[in-house]
Amino acid sequence: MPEPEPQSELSPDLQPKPEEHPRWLELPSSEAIHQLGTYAGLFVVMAVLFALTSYMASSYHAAQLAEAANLFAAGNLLASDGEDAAAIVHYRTALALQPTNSDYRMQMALALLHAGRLEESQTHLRELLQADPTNGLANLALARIANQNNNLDAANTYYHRAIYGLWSADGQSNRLQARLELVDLLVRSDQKPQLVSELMSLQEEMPPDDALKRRIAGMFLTAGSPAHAQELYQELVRVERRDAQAYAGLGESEFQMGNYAAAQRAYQTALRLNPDNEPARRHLQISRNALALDPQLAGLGAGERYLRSRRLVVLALAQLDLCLGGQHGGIDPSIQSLREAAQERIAERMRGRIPEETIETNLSLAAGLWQTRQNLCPQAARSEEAVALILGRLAQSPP
Amino acid sequence: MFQPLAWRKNLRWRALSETQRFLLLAIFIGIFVGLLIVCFHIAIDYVSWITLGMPVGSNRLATVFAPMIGAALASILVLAVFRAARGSGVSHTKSALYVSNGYVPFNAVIGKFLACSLSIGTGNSLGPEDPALHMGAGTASLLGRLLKIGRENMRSVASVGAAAGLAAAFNTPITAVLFVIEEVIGAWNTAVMGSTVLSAVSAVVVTRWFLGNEPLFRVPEFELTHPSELLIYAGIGLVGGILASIFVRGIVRFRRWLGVKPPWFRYAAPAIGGLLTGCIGLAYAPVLGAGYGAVDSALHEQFPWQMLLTLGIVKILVTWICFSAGTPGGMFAPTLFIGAMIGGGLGGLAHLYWPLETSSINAYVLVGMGTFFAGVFRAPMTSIFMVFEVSATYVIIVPVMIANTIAYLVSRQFQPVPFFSLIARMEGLELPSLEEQREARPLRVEDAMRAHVLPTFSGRAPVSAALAALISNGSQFGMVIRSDGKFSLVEEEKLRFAAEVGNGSQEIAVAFSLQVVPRIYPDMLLEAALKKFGPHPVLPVFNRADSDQALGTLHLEEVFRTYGVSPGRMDSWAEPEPAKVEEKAP
Repeated sequence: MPEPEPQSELSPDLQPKPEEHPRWLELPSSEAIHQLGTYAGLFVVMAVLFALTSYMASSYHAAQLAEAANLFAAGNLLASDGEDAAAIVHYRTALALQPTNSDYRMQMALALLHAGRLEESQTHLRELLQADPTNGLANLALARIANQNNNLDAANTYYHRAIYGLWSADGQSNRLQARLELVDLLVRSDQKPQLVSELMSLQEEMPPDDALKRRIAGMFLTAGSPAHAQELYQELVRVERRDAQAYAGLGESEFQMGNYAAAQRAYQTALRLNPDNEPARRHLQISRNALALDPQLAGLGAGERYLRSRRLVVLALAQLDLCLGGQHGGIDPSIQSLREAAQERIAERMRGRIPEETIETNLSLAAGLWQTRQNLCPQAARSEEAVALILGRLAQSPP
Repeated sequence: MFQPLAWRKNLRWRALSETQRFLLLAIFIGIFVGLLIVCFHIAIDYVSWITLGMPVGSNRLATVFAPMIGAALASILVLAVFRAARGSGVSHTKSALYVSNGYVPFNAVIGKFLACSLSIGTGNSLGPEDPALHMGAGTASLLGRLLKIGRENMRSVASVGAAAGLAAAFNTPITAVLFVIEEVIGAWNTAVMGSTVLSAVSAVVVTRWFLGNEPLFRVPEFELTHPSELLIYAGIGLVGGILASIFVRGIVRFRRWLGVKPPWFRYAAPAIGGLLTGCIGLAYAPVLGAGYGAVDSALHEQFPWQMLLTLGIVKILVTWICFSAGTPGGMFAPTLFIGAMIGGGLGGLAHLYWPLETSSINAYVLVGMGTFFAGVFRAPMTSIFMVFEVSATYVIIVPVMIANTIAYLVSRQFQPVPFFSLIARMEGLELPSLEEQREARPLRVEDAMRAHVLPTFSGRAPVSAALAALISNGSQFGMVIRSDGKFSLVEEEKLRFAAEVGNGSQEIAVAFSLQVVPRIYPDMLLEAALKKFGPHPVLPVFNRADSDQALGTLHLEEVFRTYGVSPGRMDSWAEPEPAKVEEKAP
């Protein structure tokens, strides 16, 4: 009896099938070979065409670059000769060849701005900002356009972006220029608080330049910040003792701060150095008059202070009567009682030791009269300036 | 046990399937067409630099005579050497799809390349997109022939190449695909769509590799200021549509007028057209050539509104002259130019006189660009996406949609036959109008169905009961619910026979072999329902929301009647009589 064949340990699926060749050893079909050949041929043709196109494209780009650079250079020459229209045509063609070149676009925008074509210039500048929002020059140019168009808010924004933006060259001087233009804008638009803050920044950043310092000090005065102006003028007169303009400015700063004695000294020096300075002369006179009237001047005795307070009551009453136009009947009883009180004070003549309360009462009365006069006749012609200054100060901060 | 070569078991030399080959071919087509269009672009620019100089218009003598010489040489090339390159690229591509099984001669590609480089580069008022589309179709056709793809794919290969050509020329893949689908193929076929997208994308990648990533136009930043502006955009659409129909009519008349002239005049016409273009170009240099630079300048507010309107009108004139004279070149770029200038001009006017705040002129230039295109080519979707794609800005999409749709509708009103159909007819081709195809109302089941609902029985109902129900209902057919819940049909005649021959109490399911009847629905295309009839003379129509609810019946004879075929005529076809031979099939 034949012995039974031993059973394989492997399952039938895993047992080798000796009659089958592995699939990867199968020969490719003729169709596949033909396809492969065609694809290989196409690859070769494609590679050749790619190389040819690369060569053509690189020559083309080189020619484009060279032509654009020539046109740009020609445009720059024309622009420097003031021929903006021709320069713009050249810049435009250069830009058509190199649309991503920001220098070309910048120069074109500046030429357009110079030629007064604001809207077109603005479009190019905005495109530059789209690509680089920190472009200082583009922001400055846009600020100038907005300024010309009286769009003060936009100008303000662009000036700030120009100040804090990036500059490829002359960053410091360009930023300074941008801030100065911004300051001019703020002066024009009467935005004093922002003006003071910009001037303070400018004061910190400014180079050692006396003319600039003088300009900034003048702007501080315009902004109603005489203390800052005084500081700068003092620096100027310390450096140059014969600077009449600086002394005049210093006088003005002191004058605005109510330091009439210091103002008088500065004006006197300014007039000695430049006797033709009529405003300084006028202010000197006002300062003298104010000094003669000021009851709160340091070092005055009680008698003198009383006399000055009484005089102020006289002057304030005269101003009020001038305002009322001599019509005393039918006026407000409170005003009438104020007038009567003033007349009583004027009639009263005190001798000997003057009590401090009397002086204070006089000054309060003078301040009240002046305040009433200001309320009734705010548009009235300005009276003598020194009187107005002293009474105004008293009315603002009565004793 | 570890088998080091096991992974190679799945690798085998195998021929690719037809679909795989077609998709691979689409990539090849895109790359080849991309390379070709890069060279075409460079060739046009070189010809322009050499003949017109820099800046264009600076050399007055060249400005006058270069377009004439270019047009004359280009015409000689297409009339004498590369005759296949004559005519519109769109018509040739459609012709390849519908007439010549995808065949576009390759000498048309060479001819278009040379002739259009000369004509456009020398300043004739034509664009490179239509030639690029033609070159793409020709290249694709050649590659398809080389790779021996199947007949069905071969037919559509030209349109795949056309998309690549247009995408490369415009640098706009979406627009190219949409245009080819909207104007050439006319249907959203998944297979062709996939290959068209692949080829367009590969072509654009190649173009961007060599020519950069920049969009066609650099659009400055702008914003829409007030909703009332939409009225201005609608107005631009209206004017664009009217001008587009005037423009198309003018071209047709001009071409017809030229067609009756002696042959020598037709040969001389391109040169004369070129000379006229050059003379006009002396005063208005921006209208020379494709005019993309001028559109870019308009977008950057170079021109005041008066100049914009003038340039638009002058460009209409020079494009009329060049295109009607038969100078080789396309119409895409000029239509964009004209639309942009007219839109910008009207926007400038609105800027001055509109009582409310308006956007800057560049917004109107951009919107106007699409309106004239939509009006002339009657491809509204393409026009919308084109503006979106060339500008790379989304802000403009709502005004563009409004303006382009209005332009399209107005143009349809005044010019019933689409531009490409007119051009094809003038070139002696009767190609299908895809606009008509798109808008033909299909017949549906609801157009032919009867509201009569067939009586329904259970499969276990006795034959006699079912017969009685049919007789009382006056219906010839009844529906039987099978045990699996599906429906079947029984005929009164067969029930009667079963009742007479057998026992009337026999269950229907036992007496008959119940075949499942296909379900049809009221919204189904009648054509699709017709295919489902099989052996049944009638089909029940069901409700989609409740698939067990029958809404009526569809009779085969009603289907034919709806298609306009009477049963009498069907009989006559079956046995034609000599006297009725002249009757034609619908």
